[in-house]
Amino acid sequence: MRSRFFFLACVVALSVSARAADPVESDFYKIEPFTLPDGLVAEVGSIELLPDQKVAFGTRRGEIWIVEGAMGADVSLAKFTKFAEGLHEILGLAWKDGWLYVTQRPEVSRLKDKDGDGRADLFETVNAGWNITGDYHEYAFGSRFDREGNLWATLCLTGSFHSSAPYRGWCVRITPDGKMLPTCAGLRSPGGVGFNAAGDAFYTDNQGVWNGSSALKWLKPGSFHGNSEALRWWDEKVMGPKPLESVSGTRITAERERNPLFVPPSVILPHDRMGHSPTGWDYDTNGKFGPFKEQLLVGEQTYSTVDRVYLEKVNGIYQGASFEFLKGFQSGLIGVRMAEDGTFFAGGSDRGWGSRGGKPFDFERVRWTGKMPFEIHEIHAQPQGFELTFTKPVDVATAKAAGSYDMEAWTYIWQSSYGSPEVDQVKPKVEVISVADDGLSVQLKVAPLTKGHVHAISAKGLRSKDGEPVLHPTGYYTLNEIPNP
Amino acid sequence: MRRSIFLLLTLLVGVPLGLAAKEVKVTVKTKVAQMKYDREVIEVEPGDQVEITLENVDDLPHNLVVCRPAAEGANDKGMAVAQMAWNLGELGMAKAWIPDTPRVMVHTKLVNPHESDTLRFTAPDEEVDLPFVCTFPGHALLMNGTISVARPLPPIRNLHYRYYLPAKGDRYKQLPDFSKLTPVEEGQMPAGKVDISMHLKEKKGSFAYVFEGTLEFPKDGEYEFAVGSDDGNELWIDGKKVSEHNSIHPFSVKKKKLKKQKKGDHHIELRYFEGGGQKQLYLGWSGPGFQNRPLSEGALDAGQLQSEEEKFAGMPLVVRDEARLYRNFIEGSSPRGIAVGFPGGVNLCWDADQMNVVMVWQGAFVDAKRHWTGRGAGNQPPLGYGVVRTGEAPQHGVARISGSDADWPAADPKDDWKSGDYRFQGYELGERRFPVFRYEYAGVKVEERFEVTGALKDGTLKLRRIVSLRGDGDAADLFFLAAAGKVTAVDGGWALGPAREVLLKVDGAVPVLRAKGNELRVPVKLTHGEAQISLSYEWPVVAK
Repeated sequence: MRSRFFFLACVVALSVSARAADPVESDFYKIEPFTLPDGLVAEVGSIELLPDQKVAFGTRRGEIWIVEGAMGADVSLAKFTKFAEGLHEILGLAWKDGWLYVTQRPEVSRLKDKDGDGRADLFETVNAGWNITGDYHEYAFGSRFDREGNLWATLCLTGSFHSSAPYRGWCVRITPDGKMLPTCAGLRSPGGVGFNAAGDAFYTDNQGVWNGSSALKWLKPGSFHGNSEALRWWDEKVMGPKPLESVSGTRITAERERNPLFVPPSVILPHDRMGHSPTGWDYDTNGKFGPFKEQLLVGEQTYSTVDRVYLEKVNGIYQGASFEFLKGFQSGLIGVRMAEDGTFFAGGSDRGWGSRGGKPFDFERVRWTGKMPFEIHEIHAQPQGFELTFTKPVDVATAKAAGSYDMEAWTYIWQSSYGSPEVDQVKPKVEVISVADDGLSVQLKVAPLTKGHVHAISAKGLRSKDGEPVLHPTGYYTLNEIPNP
Repeated sequence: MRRSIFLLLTLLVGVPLGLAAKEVKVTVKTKVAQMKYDREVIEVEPGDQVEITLENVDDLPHNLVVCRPAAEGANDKGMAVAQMAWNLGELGMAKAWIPDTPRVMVHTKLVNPHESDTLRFTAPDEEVDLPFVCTFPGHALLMNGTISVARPLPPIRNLHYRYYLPAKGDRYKQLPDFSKLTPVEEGQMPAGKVDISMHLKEKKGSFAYVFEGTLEFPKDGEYEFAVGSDDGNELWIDGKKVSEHNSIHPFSVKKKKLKKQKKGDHHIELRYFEGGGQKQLYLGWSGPGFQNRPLSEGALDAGQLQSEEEKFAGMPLVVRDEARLYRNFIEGSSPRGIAVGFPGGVNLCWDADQMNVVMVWQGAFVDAKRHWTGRGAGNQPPLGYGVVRTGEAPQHGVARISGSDADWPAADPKDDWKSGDYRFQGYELGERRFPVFRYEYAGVKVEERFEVTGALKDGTLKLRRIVSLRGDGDAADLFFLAAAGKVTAVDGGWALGPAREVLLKVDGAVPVLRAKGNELRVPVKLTHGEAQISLSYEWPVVAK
């Protein structure tokens, strides 16, 4: 009885829908897990590209493996060789001038294979300027090099609330001559650190104290990010005047006005909606990975997904939109890396923090199939609303229909306790819609716009010119600043 | 199922005391490079036909010698017998380390690595503890156990239960005041085991029990009760509360030791409540000659009774023909410890905060399970044996002090970052991946390398540590801290460790043992800007 009804319902649904099946992510991006040798526990914490098409990854167990053939046609033919072991939880790798720089829990080290037998034999300490107390939570994530040759490291708090030793809850830079520059304070639980195409540094912070939701944050040198515990290591002789301590129970906008050194989260990755734990990211420099050149592709540990972030600068402050991008990875992603040829590597672990992927660890790669997905490409804040750009021309009729769009806006409580519900909900209305002649962008006049709120813009009713729905129809725009007219 | 068979056996054998002597077959394995048997207690009944197979999976030879009790009747763990074996000296090998003494009851042969041997005997008719021990010189301190010959333990006598329910719509959040309550049901439990299953089918969300009875302690001595519950409980012995976990919580076990208990009857009372949801109650006890005997019904999987040490065992890092490093949180080191396992069974921990060797040990290297499962919290102790700390307080390896009797500068691990004088520079892996550690202190470059010679099994094992220093100027007030804490001057060097396990020798300079802190300081004299100190750590196993 039930199955016949279901069959009937399917027939009705099919006849209503314009297409036999809507496109799915795998039509556009193919995820391929590598075949790992026995005994390789690939709890990948960081991935780096080496010369000669080799790829290196570091693991939570303190091993470094080198992969040959990782970009080859047949993923199962890749060859894995152990380069180093016995290091302490590797969450950063960077290659420079024949050295592999490793950010591990106690220090930044650099490794070299002097005798050419394929294994590292020189383990030089570059800088051990921060301290560790023996608390498991004191992770250290390391970037690659910025344009001045500095390596940035973000240092987790002690036990997720406190700063029991110097530079817990900080971002520090390690200069090319091995000196440490304390750079930003007030971080909570970084999951990754790196740069955007403009060369500015960012990190992902995880929901918790002073973090109503996880977010991508701009590491503007000298900036403060909320956790006052870290301010005990702020030396005014080096860093200038100290930021004010955070006041609990307010809002990010109020805190910005009160505390000038506080830099608001650039792009919020709304908790529960997008994930629970953002980690590392990378971006496509040349367009070989599809239409999202220079957008940040951010790993998500809990959801085993990759999110997509578009950044823009308004009134001197970074902000922008986050989108769902790709799901179905096998474990909780921690390290990711984009190769020149458009191969995106991703790996991670679910140890201690569960993930949806279901496997304890993974190392995988993603490639663009060459087919163009229909996606919101960018969202730009405008004085009276938002401009949405698309990867393919839109269908003008659905693009002009107010019913194609839905909006919500909210913010989070700025507080010393863990996380925050979504609060101060607003229902913005799309009042005027104009579609560009080329069909590649839509301007929405929206009222009201609320400074500091996340504005969720959903284009569920929109179709492309060739009839496809938007693959991921919702963008979450963090409106730190409303552009001046 | 197994439990009910066991119960049946207990009844059959236990009721007509000792009439039906049974066969007991036990396998005892050696633990690889840990100098231990895998079980320390073997429980048999008087008159049993006992067969023990020693399976030697270790890389050293071992035996298993069952000893009669010492003359004074105390359990000496076979130490006197092992000492007699040690005293055989050069004759020992020929006698397979079995001394001529009436205390030796029965023994295996000297079992070579990866072989096994079986011994058989009839358990005495009286209750007695028979120590068993490995008499190969140097092994007895850790390789020993007890065969407990004892009649089966009786269950709780006159076990009575009272069952309580909260007022309608209410639930217990902790143990109620039972004196003010009337039980909804009460009765005897002839099986003598605490059991909450009888009312579970009623599916009451919240309920409480009081169990009371008489428990016979078979001997004078120390007893341990393990009480596990979801939710809360209190255990009372002889009218005194000995253990409590009185709140709503997931199942967890608390253990409580009771020292100097008298043989004979004791009153036992267990109070329990369930607030709702998951429910479970476990009661067990250990005492002289027996371990983890349940006094409750209801299965408990082995993992729930595991101690912390047991939980974090199972991922040993095996050292083969190359040295192996492990950077993580090592018990006995600062958080920047680097454990090194050398081929041949010698290990150390080099502390990159203190810039010094802080520990040496023999046998197995490290078990990584604590750090490689879950979130990896906590410090991991060495896996091997003979662990000797070479320092007590956090102290740096070198320092400039104003004369050999001045205080050594304190190294507060939390403030180490402030001390710009010490810089760890990393390490290089040389031949067979042996590490060379490097650091810098106030213009002096220090390099430490290691050599291992000899073998563990014949007592010739030696670890050499060569410390090279290079610096400008004369650096007249430079000292190296070779050891501190348990340091004793002996013939030919210094003994380290509580049982003087390690003999330390220093070449290239004359050390000074400073009374305060027992600090063994080596004055460093740079000649043409260079100096070298050579230390050797030896484990003299066999008395020559």
